[in-house]
Amino acid sequence: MRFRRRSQGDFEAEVRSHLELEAERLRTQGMSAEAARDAARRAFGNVTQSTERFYESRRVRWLDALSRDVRYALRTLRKSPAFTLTAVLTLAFGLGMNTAIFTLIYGVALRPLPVGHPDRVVTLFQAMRGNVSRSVYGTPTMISYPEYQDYRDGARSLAGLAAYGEIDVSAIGAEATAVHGQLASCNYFQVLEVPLALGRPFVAEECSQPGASPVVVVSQGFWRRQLGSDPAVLGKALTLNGRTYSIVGVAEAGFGGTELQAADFWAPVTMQGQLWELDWLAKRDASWLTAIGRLQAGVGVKQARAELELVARRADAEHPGRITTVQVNVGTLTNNPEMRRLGRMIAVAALTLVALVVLMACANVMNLLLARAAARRREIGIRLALGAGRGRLVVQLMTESALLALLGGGTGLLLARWLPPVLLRVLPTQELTVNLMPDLRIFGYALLLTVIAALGFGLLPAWHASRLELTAVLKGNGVSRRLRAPRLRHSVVALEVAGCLLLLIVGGLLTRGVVHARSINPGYRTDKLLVVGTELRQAGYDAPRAAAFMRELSERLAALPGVESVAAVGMLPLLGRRTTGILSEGSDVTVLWNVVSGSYFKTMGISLLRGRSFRPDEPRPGAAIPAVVTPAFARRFFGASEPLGQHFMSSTDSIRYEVVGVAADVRSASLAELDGPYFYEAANPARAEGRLLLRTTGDPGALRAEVAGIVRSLDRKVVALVEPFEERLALWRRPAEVGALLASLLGLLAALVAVVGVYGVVSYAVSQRTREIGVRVALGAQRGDILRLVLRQGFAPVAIGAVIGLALAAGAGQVIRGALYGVSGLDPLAFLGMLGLLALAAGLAMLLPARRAVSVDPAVTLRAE
Amino acid sequence: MSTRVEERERIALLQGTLDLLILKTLVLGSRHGHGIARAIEQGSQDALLVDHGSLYPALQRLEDRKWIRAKWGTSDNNRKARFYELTRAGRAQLAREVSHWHALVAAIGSVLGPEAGKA
Repeated sequence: MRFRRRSQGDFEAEVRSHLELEAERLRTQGMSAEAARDAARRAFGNVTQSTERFYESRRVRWLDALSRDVRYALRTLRKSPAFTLTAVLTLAFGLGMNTAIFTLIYGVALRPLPVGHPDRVVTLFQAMRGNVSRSVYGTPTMISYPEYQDYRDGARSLAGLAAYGEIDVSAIGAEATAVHGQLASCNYFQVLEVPLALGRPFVAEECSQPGASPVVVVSQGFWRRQLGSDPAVLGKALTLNGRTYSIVGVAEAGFGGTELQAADFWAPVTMQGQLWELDWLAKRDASWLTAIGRLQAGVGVKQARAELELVARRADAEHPGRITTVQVNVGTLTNNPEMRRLGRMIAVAALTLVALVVLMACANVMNLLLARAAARRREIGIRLALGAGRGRLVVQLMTESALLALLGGGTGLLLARWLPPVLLRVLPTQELTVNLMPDLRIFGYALLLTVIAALGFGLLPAWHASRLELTAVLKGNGVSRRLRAPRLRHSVVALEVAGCLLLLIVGGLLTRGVVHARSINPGYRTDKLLVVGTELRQAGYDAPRAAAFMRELSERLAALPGVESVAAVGMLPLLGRRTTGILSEGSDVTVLWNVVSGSYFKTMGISLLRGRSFRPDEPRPGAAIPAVVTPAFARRFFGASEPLGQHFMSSTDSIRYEVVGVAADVRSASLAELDGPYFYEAANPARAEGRLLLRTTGDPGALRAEVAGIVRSLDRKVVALVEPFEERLALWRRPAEVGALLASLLGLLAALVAVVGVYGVVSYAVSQRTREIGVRVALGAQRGDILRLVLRQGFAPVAIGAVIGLALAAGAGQVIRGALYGVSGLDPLAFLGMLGLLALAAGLAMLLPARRAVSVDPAVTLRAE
Repeated sequence: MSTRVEERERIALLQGTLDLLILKTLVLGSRHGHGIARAIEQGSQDALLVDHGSLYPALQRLEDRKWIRAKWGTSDNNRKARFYELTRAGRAQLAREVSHWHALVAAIGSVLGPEAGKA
């Protein structure tokens, strides 16, 4: 340690010199040499002590003090294992939860891609304004193949630009399976600098001619699962959507592309027409490819973007009225601007929630520390009396906090390591590319969080603890009047109780909503329904041909065994809604509407109350378009008069309607309530949406392949999406279900934290008042009296917190009302249930220390003081 | 001669006065630690006792505050010793402490009143 200006040896030499001088002086006064030396030494006092004092004054004090503080803190923590364990576990929960969520967000949206030199990899999207008409598969910000070629050839700031589009196909390897893959440009693996485990990447020639190169690179996972890890797999055949592809490579383990969903295979982008049965390769106004490129060395994102904008500008020149902006970002697993926006919202919400949990964990440990500081008043008082500086004392206490935080943060890392994969498994079902291994940034985040936490929960107790009135403390049991810690402690517990009750009730409400949603009768049947969607317009159909195709398809499907009825429909209930304006007495009223065929009501199980449904030959040209209205509609526009035969007119396209029937009110816009005024328009071929609903006698999923086969047999170019209605609904329900699960989980964790807080307050009170309790028992207090005394300590903060929590939850209930499907935002079951749960937990937390109080033996406690 | 009796008659230094005395002894020139202790004791006709053990930390303290500085030299009887001398700041500090001391003595004196007959 060469920080000091003067070495210890120098100081020792000086002391030696002094001793010699003194001894010599004594000798001149007639002492013997030995006696003089001893006398000099005696007069000096303790030489070692003196040098030590020098050492004290000179050493790099903070380092020395730090190591001493750490040792002291470790000793202190070891002496009270229950406290340490509680504090560490509480912190581990809070910090671990937070780090877990951060790990997820980091893995999904921030982590560098698993490619070579990921910092130079950028993605390219375009945002178009003005006069835009594009076919979209994915999101509108994606690009088409000709656009990709323009960008690739026009960008000198990029060392390379690749593109890929995601597809789902059926593969026949060992068995037929649905697989997810990517159509990739032939420079894909080279641009991303991803080596292959076996075989070769695509070569440029394979992308030179559409449909000419049936080759495929499979992922390591697919190779293991479906191809039995066959080492001689190269050159073997794999059937994708009925066509044979030759396997030329196997990707490295752990590489599944640069999207969240892992790709099982890559095929040359020029095979698009073969795999899709819909050729978009030459189509310029289409969005289906994501471009991903590598910056030239020394080129920044801005420069690349400026150059790519020029390319886009040239393309715009051929599209008057269109303005394209290019978005270039460093690549992560969530590249798409739309996904990023959504992801940011979710991330902010999740981080806010877990920040709340950390806050509560900190409040809790602060609470425990405050209680302990009060119990350690004597020790601290003595240290102050012995001359410890207040600053030193604060540092010493902060060292303890820092240690606790580090232990908690360290333990929390285990939680952060375990939780994210579990959470991911709860959410989507497909295989994901998300890497959740902790790296330096995650550790850095955890450490930063830990430090903030340590300061957060440690400073105040240390400050309070060191602000003692010495005389009062040393005199004995004196309680500092200035120590306002109890009130602070109680407000901390109140805050925790409020926070956890809020989370619990929100979780409870959402759960109630989800459960309730399942029990709601929407007025139609959602089971045994198969949705058949076709993309006729994209397949080049005009209105008359589309109408003919749909008629033919309906007849073929209706003839299928197991199909009861077939109906054409514009919007599916719950999954979409549309509105139009109706002119009524000079004003324009917005109502819900839908386009359906006459069999819709039978297919959906919606009862016709009056009149009739549409006939197959309706609507007839020239006549008013037949409409079926709901009672709500009739009341709104026709009042008490007979609705059948009435006419009304839409304000948006001036279509005249004639009411031919009245169908029951249902819940199609929201499960929470019956639709307002609603009318059905007879399916018009010109308005055909190409969507059919099939009512089946058995499991609708079983008909999937057969239905797709019929569509294909009519026209191979038409892409059909065949799905049971319930499956679509499940996807639609998922956010609410996940939200309910997450809020409940967090609520339970927060409840745990709150329980620890309540326990801390009460057990502190008991330890502080042991003497008083002893006196009371000695004076004849009964067990019940003591119990009441103790429970009163914890009751006030819990009650106040509960009231605040209930109030907050009532507010939150109004905010999330939309997600509750009609369950009241003040649902008594959720409110009282969670309140009861909390009360029970708080009661238990109070009972433990209360039992200790009741068993106080006055003889022992009074002597102990 | 009994050193024991002699020591009992000596007065322990008041806290805080050691610094003042050290500075004072250095006014006339540099001294080593032992010399400073002797100078204080002799200057007080051996009435004051300097605890050698606390002398050196005190010297260190003064050095840290830049009131004195030190270098190694040779004593009268040819021994290596660390010699201390006053700095400019040390002189100023001495002046302040002396006047403070006199004020203190005067104040305490006026409280105690005239030394009435050595009762």
